[in-house]
Amino acid sequence: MTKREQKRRSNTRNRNISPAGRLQLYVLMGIFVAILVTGFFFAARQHFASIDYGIRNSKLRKQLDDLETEKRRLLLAREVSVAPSQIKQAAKKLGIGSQDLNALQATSVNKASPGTTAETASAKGAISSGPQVPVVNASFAASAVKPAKQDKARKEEVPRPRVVTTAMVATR
Amino acid sequence: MANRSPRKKKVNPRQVAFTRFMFIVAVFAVWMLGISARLVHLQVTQHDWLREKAVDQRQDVKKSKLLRGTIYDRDNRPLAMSIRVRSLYADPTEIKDIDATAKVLARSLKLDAGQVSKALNEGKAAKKRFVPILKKLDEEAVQKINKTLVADNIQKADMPRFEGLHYSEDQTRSYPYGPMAAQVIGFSNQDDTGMAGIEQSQDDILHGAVIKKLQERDRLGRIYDETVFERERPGDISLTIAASYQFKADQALENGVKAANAKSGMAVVLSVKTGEILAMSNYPSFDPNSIKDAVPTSFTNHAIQSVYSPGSVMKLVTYSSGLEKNLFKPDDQIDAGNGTIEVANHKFTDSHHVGTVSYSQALAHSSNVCAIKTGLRVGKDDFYTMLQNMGFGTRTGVELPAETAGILRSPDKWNGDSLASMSIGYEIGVTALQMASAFATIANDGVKIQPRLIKEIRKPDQTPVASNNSPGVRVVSVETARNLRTMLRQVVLTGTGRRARLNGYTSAGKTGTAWKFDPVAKRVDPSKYISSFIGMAPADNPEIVIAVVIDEPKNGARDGGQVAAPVFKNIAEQLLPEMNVTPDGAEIKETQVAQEIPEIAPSKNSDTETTANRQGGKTTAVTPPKAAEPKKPVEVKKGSDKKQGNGKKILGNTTAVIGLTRKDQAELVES
Repeated sequence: MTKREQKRRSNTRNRNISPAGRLQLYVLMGIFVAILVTGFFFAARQHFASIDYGIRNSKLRKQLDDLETEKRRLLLAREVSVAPSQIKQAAKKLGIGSQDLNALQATSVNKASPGTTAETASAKGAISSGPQVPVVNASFAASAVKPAKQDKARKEEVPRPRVVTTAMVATR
Repeated sequence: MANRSPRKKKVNPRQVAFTRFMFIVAVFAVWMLGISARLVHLQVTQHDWLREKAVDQRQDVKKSKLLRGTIYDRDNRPLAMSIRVRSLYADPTEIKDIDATAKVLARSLKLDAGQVSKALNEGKAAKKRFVPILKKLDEEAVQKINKTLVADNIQKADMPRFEGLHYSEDQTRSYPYGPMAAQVIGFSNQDDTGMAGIEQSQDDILHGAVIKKLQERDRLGRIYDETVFERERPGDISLTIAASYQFKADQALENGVKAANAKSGMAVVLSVKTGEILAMSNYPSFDPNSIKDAVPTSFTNHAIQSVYSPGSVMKLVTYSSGLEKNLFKPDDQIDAGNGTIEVANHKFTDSHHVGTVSYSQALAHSSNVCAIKTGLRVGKDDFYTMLQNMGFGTRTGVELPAETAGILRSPDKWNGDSLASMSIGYEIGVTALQMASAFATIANDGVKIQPRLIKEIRKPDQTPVASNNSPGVRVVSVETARNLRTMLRQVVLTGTGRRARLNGYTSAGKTGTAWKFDPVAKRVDPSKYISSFIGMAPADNPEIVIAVVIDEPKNGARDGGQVAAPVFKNIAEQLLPEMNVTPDGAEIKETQVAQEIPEIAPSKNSDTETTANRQGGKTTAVTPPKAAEPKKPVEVKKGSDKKQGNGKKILGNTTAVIGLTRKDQAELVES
């Protein structure tokens, strides 16, 4: 072999590598590939998890908004039902006279100070002396003088307003 | 040559491999070049369009208004509040078959198919992405629509699952108490702008700003990221009125107006110590929940926007001026003579002869002559100063829009008989709130406190700001105020205001009756009255002042003592126990008030019509009119305040100008 030939052969890439060295090379390559794949995997997982969290977060936020809306609507419904004019209308339907009504209003309308003891007593007296009819369950004063046995009749006459729970709709 | 074997071309495998390699490289290069060219084309020339499309696919900007602030009463009951509702709209650019969609929509939502189709087609042609279908839907209606409008082949994250249909967030204003205090609370329009009352005057605080939400959506339209551009949230307002008091005042006023078959009425309940307006009623009222059904004239808050001649209730100012100048004591005697007094050639008469009486009795029996004599002794300037100090001619400053200042001319514009007329409540225009404030000044030992309607303003993340409680200005001395209260007490006990006697409480007040001015005919119409009663209770240490004004009572006796005083009584008897005011009076029986002294009994020698005709010009209720048969309208001629006919000077502008425009009022003052 000439010198020139020897030189050419030493430059070639197909040099003889020992099996140990080759194994080492494959292991290293494997590790790098594994790291790369794991990195991609975790990145993808995080990406999709973040999107998933985002979606859930948005749903929760919507649910919160819906609940807030529901709360306001219920508050409004309550106020409408305890409005003196509504109580008066409902009481008229139930046959309570205007004098009884005045006594009722005196005790029921003022939330902060429900009136004196004498007022409450007079209201009770007015009702007890009047016809035994049920009263609307919309004010606290009414519940105090509510006849026990006529609940069923009351429910039939005064249907409760249906409340749509938006929270349940949102999670559906 | 034949043996010569053909020479085989020697193929170099490396050369072949190299050639093939280069070919592949060339193919790749061309491919890459093509891709690069396309990329350059897309990213340079079509950059904006692509970007817009990408953003449009992924991002969504939603605009919504923050809920308008709530108006509460003094017990934190919501009087006006907004709730979230939704509006259904269509995006025509997403709809393939407009006509088919329009038919389905019309059938499901009970709409006119032609109109829906037309709106959608027009929207598509104009590339509109928002065509409203149904507005302000509550949750129940939304659920119903969601069940009705379902297309199986549509994949959408939001409801309804129907091509091109979406919901937008909206809000609606509700007034749970309906007509109660409607003129005070006011109402807002579809755009959420306050149009009347507190809704209008406090719109800056209540108005909800528009917020933007930047939403990132996945391919199914689910939101996975949201950026909200926050704005300052609107504040809430707490009023001084109480729903309970207001309701009772409303009811009492309504009953009073109906009983008198009157045109309208107003009532103001004022807290003496704080100046808080506890109730402000107007009848007839309207329901702000259904503005379309309301009569526009009922929007007016007459208690602050309408001017009227107070009549005899103004004698409070006359006597307070005299007491303040130490001209007399309540028990001093005053001679009403023969019940007639002539000032600047104009004769004023009493409805009935009282003779020589104490000042207390003079006020109790509402003697015009005594009041005029007192006014003349006080003098022009001092009387005018007292009127100004009491707050007449200026706005009270209550937090409501369109408050009028009333009509009070400066003394240099007064006629010779103006002082006499004003002493008995003519030639001056006042509002019910101004009158109530004047009485509250006397009730508060002479210290005038500005009436107010707002208790506090609550802004999010801030401590509630209480409305400024003005320190108060002393108008008359404590002694004068007490003396006046004693005199006003006599009105209720022995005078014209007997029907204002309360069961269990003491009360004091003054009745008033005045003719109305007819703005069309430009003359005083003696067949139309304004009857009022303004009083306070308990008399010794007043807690509240109640002003009741009834416009054009028609049934029975029509003077303030007969028409307005019972309303005062009705309100006071309900409110005082509720306010935990200790009863200080005796229980009374109905028969005790049966004997009435009419405030406006007719005077035989006072025929106003004749007087006016004789004088040929303007007239006034010289003698407060008889509560009986309506008289013919008395014509008022312009420029007739000069001496005419028999040389007597007639009275000028004595009007109840409820229903007058400001221009009319100005004209009236000028004339």
